[in-house]
Amino acid sequence: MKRIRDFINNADIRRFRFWLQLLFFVLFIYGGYFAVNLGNSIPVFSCGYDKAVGGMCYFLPLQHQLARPLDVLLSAASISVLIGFVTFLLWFIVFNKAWCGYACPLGTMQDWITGLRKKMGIRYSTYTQPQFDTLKKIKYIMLAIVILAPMGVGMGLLGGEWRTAFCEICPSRMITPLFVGDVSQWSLDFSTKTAMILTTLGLIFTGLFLIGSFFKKRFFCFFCPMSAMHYIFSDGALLKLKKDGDKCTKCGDCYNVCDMQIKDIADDVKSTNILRDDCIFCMKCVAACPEDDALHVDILNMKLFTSTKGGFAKRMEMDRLEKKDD
Amino acid sequence: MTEHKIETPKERQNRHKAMEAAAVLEKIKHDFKEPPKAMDYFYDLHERVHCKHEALHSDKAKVGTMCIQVPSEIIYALDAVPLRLCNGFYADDEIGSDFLPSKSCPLVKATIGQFASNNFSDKPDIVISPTTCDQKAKSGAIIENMGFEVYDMEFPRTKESHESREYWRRSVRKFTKDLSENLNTKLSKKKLKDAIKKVGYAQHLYHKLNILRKDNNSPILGKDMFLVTNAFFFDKIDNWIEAVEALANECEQRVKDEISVASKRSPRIVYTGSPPIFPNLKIPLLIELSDAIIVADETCSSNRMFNDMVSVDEWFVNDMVDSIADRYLKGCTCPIFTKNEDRKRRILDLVRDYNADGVIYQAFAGCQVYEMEQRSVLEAMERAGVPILYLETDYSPSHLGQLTTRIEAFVESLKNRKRRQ
Amino acid sequence: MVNFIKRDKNDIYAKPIIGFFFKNQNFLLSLKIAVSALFVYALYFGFAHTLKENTFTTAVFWGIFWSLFMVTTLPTFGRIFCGICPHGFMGKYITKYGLKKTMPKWMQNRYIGVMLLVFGWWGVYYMFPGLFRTPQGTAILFTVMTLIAFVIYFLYKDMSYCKYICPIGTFTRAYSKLSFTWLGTYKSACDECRTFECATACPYNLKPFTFDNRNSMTDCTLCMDCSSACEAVSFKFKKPSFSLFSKLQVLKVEVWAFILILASISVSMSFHHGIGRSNAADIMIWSKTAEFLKNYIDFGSIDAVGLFAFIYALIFTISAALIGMFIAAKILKKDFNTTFYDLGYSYAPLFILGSIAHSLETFFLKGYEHIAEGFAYGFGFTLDVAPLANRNDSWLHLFGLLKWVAIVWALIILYKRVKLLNVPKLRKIVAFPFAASLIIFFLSIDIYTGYIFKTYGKASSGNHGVGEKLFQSVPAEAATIVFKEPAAKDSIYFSDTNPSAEKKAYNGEHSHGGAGDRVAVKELWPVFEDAMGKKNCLSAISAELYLLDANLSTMQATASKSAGCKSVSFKMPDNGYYNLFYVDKKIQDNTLHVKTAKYEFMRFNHSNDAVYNKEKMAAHTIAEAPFDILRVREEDETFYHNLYSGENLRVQAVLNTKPIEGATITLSTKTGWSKSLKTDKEGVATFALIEDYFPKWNEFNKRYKNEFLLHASYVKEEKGSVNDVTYEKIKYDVTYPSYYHPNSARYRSYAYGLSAALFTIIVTGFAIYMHRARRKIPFKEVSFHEKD
Repeated sequence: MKRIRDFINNADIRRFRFWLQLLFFVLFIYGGYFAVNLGNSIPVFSCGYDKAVGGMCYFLPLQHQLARPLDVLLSAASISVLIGFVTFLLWFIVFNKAWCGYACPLGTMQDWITGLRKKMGIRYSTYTQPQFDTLKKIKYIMLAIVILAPMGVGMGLLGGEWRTAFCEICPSRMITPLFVGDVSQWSLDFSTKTAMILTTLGLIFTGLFLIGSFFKKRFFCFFCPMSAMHYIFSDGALLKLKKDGDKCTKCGDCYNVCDMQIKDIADDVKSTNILRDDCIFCMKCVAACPEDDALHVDILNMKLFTSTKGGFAKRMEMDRLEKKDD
Repeated sequence: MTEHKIETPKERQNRHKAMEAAAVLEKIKHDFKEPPKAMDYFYDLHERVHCKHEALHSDKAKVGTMCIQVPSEIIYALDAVPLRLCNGFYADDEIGSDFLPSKSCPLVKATIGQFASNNFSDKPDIVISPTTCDQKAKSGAIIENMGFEVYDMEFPRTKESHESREYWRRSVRKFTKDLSENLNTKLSKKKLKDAIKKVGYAQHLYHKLNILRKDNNSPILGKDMFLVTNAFFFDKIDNWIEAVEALANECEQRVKDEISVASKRSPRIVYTGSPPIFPNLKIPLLIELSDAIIVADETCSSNRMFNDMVSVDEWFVNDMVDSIADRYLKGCTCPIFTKNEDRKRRILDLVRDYNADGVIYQAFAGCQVYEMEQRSVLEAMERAGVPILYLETDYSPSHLGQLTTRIEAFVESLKNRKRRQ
Repeated sequence: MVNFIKRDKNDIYAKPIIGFFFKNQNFLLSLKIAVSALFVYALYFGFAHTLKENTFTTAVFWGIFWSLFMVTTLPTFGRIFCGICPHGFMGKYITKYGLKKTMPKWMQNRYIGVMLLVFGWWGVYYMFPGLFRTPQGTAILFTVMTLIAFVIYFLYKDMSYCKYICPIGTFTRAYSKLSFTWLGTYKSACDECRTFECATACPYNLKPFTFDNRNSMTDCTLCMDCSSACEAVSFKFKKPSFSLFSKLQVLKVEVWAFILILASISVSMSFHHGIGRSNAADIMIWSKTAEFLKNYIDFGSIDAVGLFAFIYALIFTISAALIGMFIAAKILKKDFNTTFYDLGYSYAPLFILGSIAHSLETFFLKGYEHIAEGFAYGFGFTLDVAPLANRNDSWLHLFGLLKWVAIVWALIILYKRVKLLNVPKLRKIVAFPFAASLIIFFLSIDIYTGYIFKTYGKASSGNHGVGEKLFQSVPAEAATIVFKEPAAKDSIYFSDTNPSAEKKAYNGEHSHGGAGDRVAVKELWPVFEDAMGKKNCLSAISAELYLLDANLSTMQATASKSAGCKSVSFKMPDNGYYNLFYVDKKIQDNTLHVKTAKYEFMRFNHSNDAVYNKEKMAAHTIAEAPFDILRVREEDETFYHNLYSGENLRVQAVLNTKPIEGATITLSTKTGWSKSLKTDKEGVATFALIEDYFPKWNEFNKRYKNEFLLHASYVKEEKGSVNDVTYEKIKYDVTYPSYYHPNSARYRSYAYGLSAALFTIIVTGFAIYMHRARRKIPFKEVSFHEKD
């Protein structure tokens, strides 16, 4: 038992994550080719516009469901909304936000772009704290669009183009189908003014996504409404990111490696549940924590992966000295 | 007929220092049972440096540091050697008294004294003075007046705010650039990465040793640990690493063989407060001579110097420098910070982790910040039900009797407590 | 007593405007006087003007106080209604000069108030609807209540009437627990207080300084008298229903108030006014009981159905709560009473939020009009305002969300209260759904009502604007139409619009219905065009009608029975193609004319489990139709298939289920373009769908339907006879209407799309590069070169 523990805690999380991400990427982007269909309540951006999708992003069906006439929506059709929602919750509840860090194809793509930048030897950008505090609210605006725009359609206040307004501006619609050789989404729709504006925004956001994630780690996750949606239900999830504030020295190592620049991870020593709305549950913080048990990932109150001094030294290659000839 | 040689002041000072050092080393070596074999390297090292005044770094640029906040990784990456100038000699303290008010911290006085007498075995080429506590910050200027090259490194007095982090990162960036110009060496990605890993490995070894001290059969005494960590101030890092590797292995073996340097009933002590720096190991020695054992400490000459490690996400110079900066500010539990809840949490965590029975808090008379923080730490410990003894000392050997009585009484009460449990 | 205190951020007293409303004693006093004056005046008016025209009295009592003001404020600001209640206001002064006796023990029973409300008011309401709705009835009711109240105020001390007798006292006390306000005190100031001004000032003899510690405001009516006595009194914003999230002193009657009021209002209303207005009203148990008992008992003027709906609502609701909690208690291994009353607080939001929804909806529909015009009447001028909303406004349905909020809120409270129990976690999880039984019951009534309406439909006698709809569905055009008979040469085809109404019928195409949605229905009109190109419908259908449904079974279809344009309707329960055939055989000029009209329609409900079965989705013909056109399916068709301009349309002519060569197929679009082709060996003809839609760009509609009609004909020399009439050849005709959309190339541009993205990338990339290269970021003026 102890050996398994040590093995996990000393594991090279980066490699593990890379392969898992790749697996999920193939599963979600090319799943259709292998007859994999995980339904359409998947809590990540595995875009439904991808023809071979192995399980569809929950937002596409959700928007369609919410776009029904309001009286239908609030009585009979509520059942189908509920079923979709409960399925979403069931998927989500086990892995919590780890969906973002390990399964989301859009997140994986960003990590790959980051890898490319690293190869090119270009340093990354960061937000300042005030910028961070303002920008992080955008994802809730996005979530509001996801929910309110289709309801507006259902109420007859908005035209039909708004039905999937978020999908129209979501970069995943453009980028994901590229992987199955479908470029049909890379076009502007001039049929109506709304469609034109939305598709233009979509392509601008796609451009921003590509350039942004090149310079900023996980650039898009900061604005992702799915992340906001996750956060609302993350308290009930089984997988938890926990912190033992007594053990924390606030050294900031976790903050340094955090792709999402979450300050609380280092500075908050009061909360035990340290998952924040921006978190993508990549567990890099746990891997980078040099204190025994200060940060740990729990499932059902069982420690799954915890920070250890030994594990830290191993991962940072500080557990041995590179012998040099000179 | 023997030739009578007139002793120069410098020689006299060195003789005094050597005597002081030798006396302490004698005690350390012989008054305790079974020191680890690997400790011989450190006994020898201290003897060579402090008694024989042997120069260790004649081949490299030497950067003197006035406080632990000066990033040693960067100094190593610039092919220089960091030398921690914090001084524990009473002989130097007396000299320094002429330059500072009488109620100053003996450590600062001793450091100034050493500069005043310009008596170094390894003389620093440049002195880095971070603006940590008032006395150290001001002494930078005094040292400069004595003709040394001093570089002030701005250090914030709060660490919670984002501004302080950015401020300190800027300080470190500037320091890196200026030092690189000063030493005329270029900083490269590889060298910095190697330096981080090397220092990281040293820290890792320290942690490895420390973890062994958690065992009920303590393999090593606190006074030995202080010698080891003190050696990091001035030793060649490669030699130090080799010696500590050996020490760690020996201690590991001891834990396996259940060899203990203290009896089972010896109270386990967490030591906190002003740093014990060789040869001022008065309090640790008194504690361990009273049959207690120091299992952990929270001081800047030991634990605080090694505890927090650098972690880097992307191995770019910009990133590494920032990460290094963070490690020296954010995790620091020095009482100079305005608020210092972290220190209390840290002490409590050490008590829990190392299964300690009590805490001994030493403050140098004149070290205002430690003296000021004493009350709140005492309160926090009382609330947590941890016995604590507060001692105010200086470098002079005069109050030894009184200190002995207090420490022995405290240790005795801890023993009673332990027995009752 | 303190004269100054530094108030917290969430203290309402410290807020600029709202603080004035709740803190300023002069304002509060004037408000209370004004409300009392209004109350007295409305009573007087009710006696003085007993006629129906007096809308003022009812507007005051039934328009504003109940239920609009009360239910909207209770779960928000709390019992502020009690704070300005005329009874309480006047009662305070009556008590001052009264006898100040202690109320006898038997009267100190909070159930009195609740029972008065449930049976005295709601029971009566269901038995004699409309009794209190008249101005006079209203005035009498409230005068009697006022007199009782004043007598009790005079006799007993500490406003005992409000605490025990007032029908809404316990009600407001219970529901105010949901509010997000809290009256309390600043502990730091109260610790040193020895004078207790707040308690002395309280007309209810309460101790505001204990509210925080007890986690209960007890009987506080937010009259704000204490806040004038001492500055340490605070009135704070908190989390809604926060006091229910921690341990509290349980008052059994409050839980019963939640259950009984839910039963007597929400559930009874659902039974009596909801389901009672469906076509299934008569088969419901309360109607049947009433029907059954009418044989034995003479109910007189009592509304027996209403009475039994009420009684059954009580029985069902109480049993749902009791049974669920009983099982939960067993699972939790806890005493039933503790479980029931501890967890019963979670029922609180169920009624009140639904009630807010109802009140607000009523307010927008007619309440506003009622109040405005009533007040105008009361103060002697006339006013005619329009309601704020129309029943057809879809935004009104937004209030339906509150019901869901109520359910979620109730579940959250239950979760928090279960969490407080000292029981193993597993038991809590298992017990949770049982403890939530009443909440589930409440939800299921709602869904059941929806189900009843969907299955049985709304009874025509109800209110809710059904009348208007009835008129609409009368085919007013029937009288004005002159029906023409199709000539032999005219080809019949199906149209999905009624040619006489030219109004689009519901075709189910855009119902994104999931499970349980209404079954889509398609209605089609067989039409023919006259020489002018005008569509004409048929007054009678003599031809045979067949339907080939999605599961490939053929059945006879029937035409509509009503007068006017004949149409054919069929239900489409499954996803797939539905084909309607119209087969007419007629002999004229020695020729047997076999005319077939075909309509093919794909039903797809966007459900998640739909499977595109190529076999089923392929084009099929039926034996009953001798001559047929099949649209040949492309290889990659899905449920989302549509025709677009620029594509090729392949159709196959089939004679007696065999492909036939040499048949003539003509494709003609609405704009008049047409093209004829002969079928090849496989019976297939291929048409290119032309671009035939050129509107102004800003009027462009990508869903534009370019309608076209396929017409195939084939003549076969064959002699035969039908009903002794002989013919020498057979002329087969078949029509197939369909439409195509403009090609996406018309409105989608890759070039612009790519350039938008590239433009962003280049501009942003360049901006970041320049930014990095030139700008010195504060604190990062020093940057290092990344090189080894």
